[in-house]
Amino acid sequence: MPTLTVEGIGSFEVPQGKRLVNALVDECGVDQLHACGGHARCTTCRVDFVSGEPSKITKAEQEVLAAKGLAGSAGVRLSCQVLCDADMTVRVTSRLEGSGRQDAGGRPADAMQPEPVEWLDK
Amino acid sequence: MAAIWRLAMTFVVGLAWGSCVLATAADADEQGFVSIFDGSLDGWEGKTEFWSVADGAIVGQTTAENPTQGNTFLFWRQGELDDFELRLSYRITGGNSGIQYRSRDFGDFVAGGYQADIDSGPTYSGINYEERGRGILATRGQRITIGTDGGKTTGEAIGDGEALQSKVNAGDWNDYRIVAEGPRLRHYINGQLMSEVVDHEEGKRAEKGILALQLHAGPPMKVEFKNIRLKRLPLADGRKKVVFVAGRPSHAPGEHEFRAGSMLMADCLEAHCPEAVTAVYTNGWPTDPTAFDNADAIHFFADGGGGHPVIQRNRLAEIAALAKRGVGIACLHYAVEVPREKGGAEFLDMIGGFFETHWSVNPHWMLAETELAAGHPITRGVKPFEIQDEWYYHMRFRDGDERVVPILTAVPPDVTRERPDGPHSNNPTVRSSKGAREVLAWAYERPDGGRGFGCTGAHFNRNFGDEQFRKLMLNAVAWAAGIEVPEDGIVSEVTAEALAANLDAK
Repeated sequence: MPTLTVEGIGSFEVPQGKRLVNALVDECGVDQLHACGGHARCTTCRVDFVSGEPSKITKAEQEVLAAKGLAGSAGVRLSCQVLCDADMTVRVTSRLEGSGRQDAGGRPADAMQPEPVEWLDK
Repeated sequence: MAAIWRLAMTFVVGLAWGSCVLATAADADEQGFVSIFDGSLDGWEGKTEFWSVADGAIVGQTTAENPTQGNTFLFWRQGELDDFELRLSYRITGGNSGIQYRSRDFGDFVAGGYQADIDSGPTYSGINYEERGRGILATRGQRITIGTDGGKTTGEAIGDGEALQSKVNAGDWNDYRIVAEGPRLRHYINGQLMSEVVDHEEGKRAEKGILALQLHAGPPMKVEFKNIRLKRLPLADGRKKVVFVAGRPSHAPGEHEFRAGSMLMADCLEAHCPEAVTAVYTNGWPTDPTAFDNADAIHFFADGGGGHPVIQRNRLAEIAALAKRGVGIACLHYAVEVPREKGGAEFLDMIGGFFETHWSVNPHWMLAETELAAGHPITRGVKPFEIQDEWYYHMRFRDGDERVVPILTAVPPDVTRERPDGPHSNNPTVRSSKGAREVLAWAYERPDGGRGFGCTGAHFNRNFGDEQFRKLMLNAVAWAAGIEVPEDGIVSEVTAEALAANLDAK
């Protein structure tokens, strides 16, 4: 079971293979935004990886990051497209607090969406 | 031959003496521990698809076909924990588990709070993890002090975390020991201290809460717990524990609201008396076998007479022994009445008086010409008040007992002395005492130093809304517990919503 560390908040035990976005909400108690409901359509669930960034990326995430001009930003990843398979440390940069939004977005499904038919090397 | 025989005997006697010493030491070490798992899930509650009992152990299990979506917990429903030592044996196969203590119930069998961690892997066993909160408070081998602002200070290490892992029997039974004394929380596995946290963080530390066992979401896993023993510890740092026992529902709505009244008083004490820690047991006698073990005072608010919970079974002896130990005893309204022949003598010893049938009476009347004991801690900050209640009077006290201090007195209207005779209604002594001042609440200091208190009002729940009456009751129970009552008394505010909360369904 990996340890997920959120800078400035704490370190948390996370079920193996859980979607990072849901772990941030459930285990870490972070008001993480996920406006599209975890479908890799927006970038509000993005986090900055401090360490433990996965080397694999879904095709959907790669396309969205490229389309939004974030592909070149070191460590920026969509938490809805990351699974907690190993210890990782992130910085949360896109929270409900201060966003002006009414809510964080629909609850992302337990399984990754869209189904990651293709994993690429980042 | 004789020399060999003597040598053999010396060896045998030595062995016997050694084992005797060991047994005695082990017995002493277990003194005060009470089993809270009797081989069934009575007193425990969780999702039945995950929790069962097998081979004398509680078993929590998930499978590929029967996973849990989130972490799920088996709650101990008989009581809450404040300062304590808990001992149990556990065995884990796959996954992660833990023992929640001083935790909160988030509903749907989800708990959050301090967790003594259990891990099938090499990482988390023995750490202090705050579920649904601050996460890892101390890793294995760490001594951590958390300041009032949440800042962490790392003290001298207990040992190397990886080396300490070698003390854990992977895949086999281990002994867990949790010691929680005030802010200091220590986790031991197989006798080895694994982590220590001293938690002072404002708004986040917990000084009491529930006990629960965890079954973690994720891959299939199985965890077993057995030999679960609890020992409550005297509260650290000068705090005092008040245990409220609320009787079963009776009477009409708004009357004899034992649960609502007890919970309201406990909430007021928690909010406005920093030295007080409370526990409330509702619906009659506690099923928690440790309920009174670290009590400084016990407050009974229940129907009395022949049905008084204190006089059932062997409880009178149990409570009398606690009083002998110095535990304060407070009784409210009907709980001041016990049969003269069963409980009367003990009540005189414990609280200095009681409602005796054919001697005491129970009319409803409005207080008049109220007087409060001057200079007594219980009356600090209390102003004379006038409320309608079923103010019993003419209690039975020992003749000339100077240890009984009348706290609240008033003059009942003569009409209350004109009812027909009966066990509760009237008697020749009461009838002939028109105009007499009567004792409605009293304090008692036992010769051995313990304290007792009785008050005859509180038939109506609404009277807890009276600031003066409420303050008198709060001061009294605090005083009974040995708390220094502030100069202005225990000042509390109660909203209409709070007054109407926790009423029994009637």
